[in-house]
Amino acid sequence: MNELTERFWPFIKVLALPYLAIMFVLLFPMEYYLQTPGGLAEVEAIIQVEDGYEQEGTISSTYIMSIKRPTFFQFMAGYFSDYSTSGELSGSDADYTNEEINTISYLDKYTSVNAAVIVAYEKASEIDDSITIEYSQNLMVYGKADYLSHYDAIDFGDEFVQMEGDGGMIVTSQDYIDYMDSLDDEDESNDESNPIAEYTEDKKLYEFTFLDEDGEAYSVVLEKNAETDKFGLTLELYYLVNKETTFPVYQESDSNIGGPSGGLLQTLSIYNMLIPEDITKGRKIAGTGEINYDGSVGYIGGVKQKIVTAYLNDVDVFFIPNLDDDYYYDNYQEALRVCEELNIDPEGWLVPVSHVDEAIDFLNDQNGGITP
Amino acid sequence: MKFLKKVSWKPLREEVGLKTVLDAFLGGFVYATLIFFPVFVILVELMVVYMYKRYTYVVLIIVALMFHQMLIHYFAKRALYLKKEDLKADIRPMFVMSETLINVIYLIGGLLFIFVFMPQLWV
Repeated sequence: MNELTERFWPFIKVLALPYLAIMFVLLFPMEYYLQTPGGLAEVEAIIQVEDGYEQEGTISSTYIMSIKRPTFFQFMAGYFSDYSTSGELSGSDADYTNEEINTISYLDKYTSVNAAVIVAYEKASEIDDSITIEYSQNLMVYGKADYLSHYDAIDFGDEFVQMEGDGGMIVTSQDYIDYMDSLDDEDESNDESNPIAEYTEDKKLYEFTFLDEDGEAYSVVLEKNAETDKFGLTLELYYLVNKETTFPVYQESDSNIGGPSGGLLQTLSIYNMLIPEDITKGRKIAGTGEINYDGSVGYIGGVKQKIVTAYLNDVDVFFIPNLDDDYYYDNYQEALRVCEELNIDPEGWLVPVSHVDEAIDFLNDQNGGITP
Repeated sequence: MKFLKKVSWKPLREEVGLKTVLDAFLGGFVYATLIFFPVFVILVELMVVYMYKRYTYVVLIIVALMFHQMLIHYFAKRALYLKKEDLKADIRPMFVMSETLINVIYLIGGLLFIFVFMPQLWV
């Protein structure tokens, strides 16, 4: 090795600085995000219903590459692509590390699969009453502010159990769920009826109990932030399937793809495995959209990249969320704009849906809306 | 067959010793990796950005791996001749065979990755 070093030393001296400069460009992360097209992931590969019905075609969710803090080189490579979108990191993305963003993304995906199973089983049970599903309501940690005390002790996805408030008052997860339900009814935030806010006025320190991902209970004493008068914890309500009492049994496989936007397609695929009639009719079906527990379809991000992905993969049908007129963000309208920008004809394959029923009705249609 | 008969590390090992051969390959590996490291980083980063062309980039990475190991052999050969200018052992057949063998392994591994592991990874 020394002989090589001696022989090439003049070159090494000259090239060392340019080499370091190249490595800097290749490895230095930027406080930006970059979204680029990804691919299709067949739902059957991640969720299988035991003794489920076979399908002739395919149902796939669409994933994109969402790169948080790309390197300078990645950013420049994506910047000049017609298919990419980039911008400065903002909101929670700017506060969280890439690892935390990934954890949240997988939590989104986990809860999305549960929602898809619930909606699909309930829908299929209207056809076959032997299909049963049971689920529980869980309050899970979805957000952590940087001022949260014991930040590292509490993980995303941990389940909130209870909190000991003023005068020994116990606020359980059910109390908080009732509060969240009341918010839905009133459709506005009401801090006065928030049981955690209501019973944490006298002191600064309060004991919270959570369940970790292994179901082990742990308690931490959290301190209210003086500036915000909050603990810095965001709890979200999720419905999780009780697999033991659900029939037929289903299996989930590991997946590298996170996020909740595969919900609608997961619902359609699971539904198709549960009913005798094949709704795919041999077609290559893809799409995007979150699934809500009532079967409605929620909006998603990365529309441009998803449309490009679908187009490059030559799908027969692509479902896209179509929200009501008074919603501020409409994925379908954005998709049409993208098609116009990239000179893609949306006729026949781009299908706007606002509810899973609309997607099923479309697929059940004899020609599926596709010109033969 | 004549070529294959010449493929043996024994004459080289006896002439310069195992330690020298290993040192030559270590030098080859270090310098070839220094040169190819940015290439691998560029290809992986481009693959992440252009994921819809991932198969193209995986093929390019496999080709780059092949060139990387060929460069290791080239530097190792240079190091051996720098260590001993009047090297008598015929190292060319051994190096050609070694490079071919490693390239075949990379090729099989690459094809397995493309056709077996990649479809499982992206679900």
